[in-house]
Amino acid sequence: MMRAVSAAEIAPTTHAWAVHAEKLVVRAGRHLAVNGLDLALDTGVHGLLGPNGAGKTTLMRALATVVKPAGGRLSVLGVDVTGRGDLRRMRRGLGYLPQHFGFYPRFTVREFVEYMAWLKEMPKSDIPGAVQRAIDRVGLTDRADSRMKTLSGGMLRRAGIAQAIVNDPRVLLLDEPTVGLDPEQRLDFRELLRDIGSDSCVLVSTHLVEDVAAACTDVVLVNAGRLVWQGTTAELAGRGGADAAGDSATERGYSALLRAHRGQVSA
Amino acid sequence: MRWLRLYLRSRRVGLALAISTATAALVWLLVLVYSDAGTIDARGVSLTVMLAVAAFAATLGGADDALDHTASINWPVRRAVHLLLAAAAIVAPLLLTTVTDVRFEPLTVVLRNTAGLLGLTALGAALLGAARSWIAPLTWTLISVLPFVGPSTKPATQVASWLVQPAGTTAATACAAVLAVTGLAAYTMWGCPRRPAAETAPDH
Amino acid sequence: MGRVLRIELRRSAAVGVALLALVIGAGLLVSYTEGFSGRWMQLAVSGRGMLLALWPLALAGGAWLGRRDARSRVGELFASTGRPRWQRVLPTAAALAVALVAAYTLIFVVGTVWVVPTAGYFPAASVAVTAVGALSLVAAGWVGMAVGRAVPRLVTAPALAVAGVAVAGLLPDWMTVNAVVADRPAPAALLLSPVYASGLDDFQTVTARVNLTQTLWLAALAATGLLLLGAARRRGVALAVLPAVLGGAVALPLMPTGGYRAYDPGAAELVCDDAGPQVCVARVHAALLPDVAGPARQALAMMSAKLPGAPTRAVEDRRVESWARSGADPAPDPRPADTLVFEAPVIGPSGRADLSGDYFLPHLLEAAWRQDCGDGPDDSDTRFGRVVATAWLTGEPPAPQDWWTPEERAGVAGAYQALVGLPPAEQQRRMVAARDDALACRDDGLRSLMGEDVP
Repeated sequence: MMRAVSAAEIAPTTHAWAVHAEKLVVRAGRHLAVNGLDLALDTGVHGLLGPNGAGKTTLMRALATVVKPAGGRLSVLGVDVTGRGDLRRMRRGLGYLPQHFGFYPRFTVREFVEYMAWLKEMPKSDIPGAVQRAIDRVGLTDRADSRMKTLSGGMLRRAGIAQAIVNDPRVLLLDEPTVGLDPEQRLDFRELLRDIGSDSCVLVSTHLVEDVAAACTDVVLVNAGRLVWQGTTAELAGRGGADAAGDSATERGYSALLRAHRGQVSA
Repeated sequence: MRWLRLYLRSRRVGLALAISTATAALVWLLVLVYSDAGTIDARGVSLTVMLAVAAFAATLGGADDALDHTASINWPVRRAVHLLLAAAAIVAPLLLTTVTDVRFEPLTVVLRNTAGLLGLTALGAALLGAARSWIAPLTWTLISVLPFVGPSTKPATQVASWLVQPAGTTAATACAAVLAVTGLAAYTMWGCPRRPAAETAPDH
Repeated sequence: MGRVLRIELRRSAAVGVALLALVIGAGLLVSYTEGFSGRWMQLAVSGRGMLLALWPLALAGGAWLGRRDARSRVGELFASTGRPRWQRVLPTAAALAVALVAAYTLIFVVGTVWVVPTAGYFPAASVAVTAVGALSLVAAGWVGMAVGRAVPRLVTAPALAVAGVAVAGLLPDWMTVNAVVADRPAPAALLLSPVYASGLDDFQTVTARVNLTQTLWLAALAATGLLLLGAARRRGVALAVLPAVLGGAVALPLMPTGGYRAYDPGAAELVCDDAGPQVCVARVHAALLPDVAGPARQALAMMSAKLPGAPTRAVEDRRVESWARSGADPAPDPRPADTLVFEAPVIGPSGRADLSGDYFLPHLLEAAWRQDCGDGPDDSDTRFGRVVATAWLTGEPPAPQDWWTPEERAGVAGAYQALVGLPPAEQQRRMVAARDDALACRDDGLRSLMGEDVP
């Protein structure tokens, strides 16, 4: 599907990083879920790893501009989210799949994705083509006209991914996107991630280390609201000694880094 | 006692009770202050009872009916008891007014309308789910309060406007009884429809 | 917006709510077509009476729709998108408005089936009254959506509906009763409610002033509902209340006191049949003329045969019925002796005269001894005197009615026998005297027929 490229799209990016956080503090209720996090992300697929309660979802929500940071600085696509930046324009370049995503159950997949495209203020003429492409890319073509409420868990997740990518986002935030996907679909999904990551900044929060190993160029490890480690997937695999827990090199690297960080904090 | 408390909390019965009691109290107070009438007639009774019933409609389904359904307790008995206690809770404040100067009267109309409307709601809950169970009782009540709908001698009209027929109208009583029994039976046997996994948002 | 509006129309509850309203409205309308058949204004006002049920229903439907976002938990996802809230709610609000207006219009269209074939008078105000009704449903739907969004609970919708019945139906009722008890004209604030629960006489209309001020107020209310729904911040909520407050403040002083009813000279204009002795009915009842002309001429012929100075033409009584009278109605002209002024026959379900039961001819004959004196109802002797007079015209003893007591039956029969026992000239003299008295608003002549002392 060809489409006209607007001037805004080919304008050179003036910002250094797609996502840039400095001393970021975000509350989840009264609790400081993200507490002094420094992070810089650019084009590529970044895996966000961390134990339960590490602040991954809260970080994602802050990046998606759903919650306002309580402190520090955060800029997404060069727009200062903590200040009075032009959120509206920035959000047009954002794709977000929340951990639990809501939808209108009576809408069909196509209608839902179309509705989301409209909310993301895509040009009217681009919408039908973009919707079809997004649905095709997640493999829901034959269910495009089924109601959302009739979808299984995995299909629903894919519909969620479709709405996230419909506007060709330059920052794509996926919170546990692979939950409910069968092994074959996960392979397709990794392919999709690599494809999108070639010219966008994709941040995937997950507990499945093998997804990260297979599809991500980069790994961001957080714990207790802070950045623990950031590096390439290969570097992570190299961090795990033989004594670390895990069945694969990446898993061993993950647990070794986490253990080291915990030791540091408690010491 | 503990599981009972948990059950009541899980169904938000406290809120329903507060709403139904507050409705009756508000209607009673308004009539007491602003009207010379000592009686709240069938229209007033219907509107009050309908709102109380709608408040309790929210308690007919849990946060996740499919999950509830897997519990190994005797659901039919519990559902029947739930419904009967709800009826008692709705009627109680209205009965209380009979010792005051402004009364929900006559008693048989209060009982008939409560039974019929609650039955209709339970039927709606069994067929459409708790979230939409208030639609039928609300619609029927709204039609009944129209000024040109009133006591009638034609059986068809008596059934259509059973809420505002005088006490002892056979067709109206029969209609209420059928609604009450059908609703009680349907809800006791089936409960709320198990929603598909995708739509588990609780309706409260 | 166009495509999204189509999606909302297809998938949201808007059409469901409107369908429910349509079924209820059309059902109620069709169940009693006598109330409006052949008369545009009555059809429009029937719709406004039905608003007592439809208006709360629109509130509840709006609340249900307004709760959708909370129910589906889409807040998280939508918060990350760029489109401002007010733009997002617009298609949903538009879908509800389109559906409700379509439903209300369709109810009207269904009613026209019983109006168009027989209607002889089309007041433009009937369209205005219907349009205001449709606007009121939009206002209710949007206010309901705003409330449903603010309080996303299951009980919100029914509670709002009950509040709607109380505010739009019961409160005006209570105010009207209070005004009647205190012998004051109905307050102007009544017109803030779009519900016309107590109907209208055939010779009445709703003035443009009422329609315009109601439009102003309801449009302001709708705007407030929409702004509340689209408000994203506290300040937006505060500003959203402004239109309703301002609209109310401007409209209320412009609304007339005394209710919505006003005499419609156009409806009361005469339409006459001159083929024979003249028979006239009001324009709004033009469809009745063919059915009325025959009995009316028969009555005139019977009178001229026996009664000296009998009326030579028959004209419909165009006085507003007492239940619908407002202070502003014109005082009636006294009925001249040469004109028989009769009340129109009952209008049947199809808009033609319903003459079943043979009540109309006696009714016409009786009218010869009737004058509009503006008093309360006649006493029983006057009424029975009129029965005797009618029987004298027909030449047959009066047929006793079911509701007469045995004493009344005996009294009427005795009075008739006494009358026909007199010499014909005396009979005639008495009937003419009774008529002269009746037309001069004295009931002595009729009472004397029942054996009262003749002065």
